[in-house]
Amino acid sequence: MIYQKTVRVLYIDMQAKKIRIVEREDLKQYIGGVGVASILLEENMRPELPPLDPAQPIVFAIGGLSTIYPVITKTVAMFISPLTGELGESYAGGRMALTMFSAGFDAIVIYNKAVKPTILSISANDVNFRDAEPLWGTGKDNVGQVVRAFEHKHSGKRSTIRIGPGGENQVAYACVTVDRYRHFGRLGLGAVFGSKYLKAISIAGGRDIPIRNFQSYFKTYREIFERCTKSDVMAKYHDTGTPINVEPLNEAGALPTLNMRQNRFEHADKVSGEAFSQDCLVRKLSCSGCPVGCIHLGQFRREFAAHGHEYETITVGYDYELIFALGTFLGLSDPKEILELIEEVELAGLDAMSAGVVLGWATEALEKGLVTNEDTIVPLVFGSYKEYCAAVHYIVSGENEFYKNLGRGVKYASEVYGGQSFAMHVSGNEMAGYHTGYGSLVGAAVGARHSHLCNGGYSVDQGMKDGNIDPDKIADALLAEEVERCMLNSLVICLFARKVYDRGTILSAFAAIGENMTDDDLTAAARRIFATKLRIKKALGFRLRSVKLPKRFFETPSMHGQLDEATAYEIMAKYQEKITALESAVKG
Amino acid sequence: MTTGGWAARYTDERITFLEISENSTVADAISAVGIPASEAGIVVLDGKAVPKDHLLSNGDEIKIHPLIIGG
Repeated sequence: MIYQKTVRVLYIDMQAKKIRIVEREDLKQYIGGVGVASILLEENMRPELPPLDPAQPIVFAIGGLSTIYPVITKTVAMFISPLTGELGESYAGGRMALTMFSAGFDAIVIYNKAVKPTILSISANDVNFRDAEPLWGTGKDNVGQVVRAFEHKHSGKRSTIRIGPGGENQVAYACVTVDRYRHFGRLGLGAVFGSKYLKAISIAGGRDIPIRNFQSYFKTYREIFERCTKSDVMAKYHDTGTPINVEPLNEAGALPTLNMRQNRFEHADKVSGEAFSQDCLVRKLSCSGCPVGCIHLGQFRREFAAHGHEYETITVGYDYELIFALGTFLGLSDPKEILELIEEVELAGLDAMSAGVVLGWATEALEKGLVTNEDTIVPLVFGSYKEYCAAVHYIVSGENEFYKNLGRGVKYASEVYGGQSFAMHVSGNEMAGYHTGYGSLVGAAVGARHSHLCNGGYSVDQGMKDGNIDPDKIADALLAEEVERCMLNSLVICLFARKVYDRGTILSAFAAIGENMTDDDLTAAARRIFATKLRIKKALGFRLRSVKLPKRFFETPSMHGQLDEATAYEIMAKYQEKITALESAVKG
Repeated sequence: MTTGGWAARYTDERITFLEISENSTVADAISAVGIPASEAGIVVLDGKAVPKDHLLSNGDEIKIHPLIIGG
């Protein structure tokens, strides 16, 4: 927390309805965010118990510069993932970081299970355990309305964090929604909420912290603000946003399509960023403290009664990953149908990327006769959006054995029914929308949470030439980025702004609030955080050499042509050598 | 050379015919239309991504895409 020598942690025991607040001086060396959250996860996790055991913790943390500079808007959540069984790490924007900051908490640790469904209501002076039993089984929007009603006095300074039926029913890739349009999307935090009977959290804060040396602070703030608003660095996120990726990835042969049987989509022009902008875009929003406005909202019209021409207009957020997972991956070529499927996944409270990849596998498994029409209930065929909408609800309700298994992720389902070669996951986490080359594939395999965001492997691929593959260099590039992102995520900046927040800018930002850090301090913190994550993964049983990549990654050509399996494993082995050396250096 | 709407900040034309000297590369063509090197991403020639130092020939049609963006 700004101007403090300690990190302020709020511990919440859901079962005993007790809280304690601890000022931790020892955590300052981890800066904040993922650094602090990693240590708190390591201290509180129980590796010998399953991920959804009530004893397992949920940790939230904000960073050392949260909310006081532009685009430092995220909160990190850490937990044990029910999807992969190992490190769970996810980020969300919205107002959550702002409200944690103004409520006076750098981190929150939640453990044990409530006796009945509960809404945690957190403010600077109080934590209330509100009865959510009447809301259990209802949608996320109902919860939002209820929370807004009883927190009306904090209007504009509150954040609502909640789960839908997917989380209640502990689907392994259930998400947590923050303030309607932001999510802790990946790795199943929603299921961990559900396992604790935690329906929602409301955080309200009204603290005012005067800036001490305003002139110095404001000068630095203005410089960063202008880079965010007047340079090219952030403009693309506002203009078309990440959906702009559809066209280049398609043309380059890197767009996962039809369960990645193809690397190009014949209807890509209909689902491109420009197509969405022209046909569906109605509004752009920002997280609190961000001047960019990258949240793109699209609209579609839906008939809600069989007779009488009754229609409603639905507004839903979209970005590239959603267009990939619930569009091209499933063969949907109409933006309005994609938006409708996004809305169904949203209401179900599932991670959109995992949901799409799971459905892609189910479609092909049915086609190949590994599962039957009786299993899938509806005839899943690529392009059949109404059937996909129905299937989303069957996953959430665990309608039959097949859908219960789908709810445990594509890795698990393919182990039960076969079809592992085309179950598109990396170490249990469903793939992201980049088949760009070794960088993206190996990057996800070696990444601490098996996400494309661990080390941005697709960026490594963009700079690579065909026929010029150097496993050592790729491993170096992935490791350097992974470690650097540990530092960036300790702040916790929105990674869209990573080119704004270079090392010099970060040091200036700290200096302007009286914290004189050095470049070496940032490097040391990054390594310390990375080493902590590695310890957690090891304690949870992860071994990189045990990772097996589905064959289809090597069958469908990438942007750089067909990937060679042996080369991919060679890069992973090189990476392992490098992290072993780095771990020794950190210990030494 | 073709660009998409994304390049409107740098050039008014979506299709540009360039006269280039011998030994010109993709990077030279990008620079010639005023797109910053840091903003240009995948470049496609004959349906295949080519590197920025690829040598261009007379009659080549390239499409310049923005950088793949994300977190």
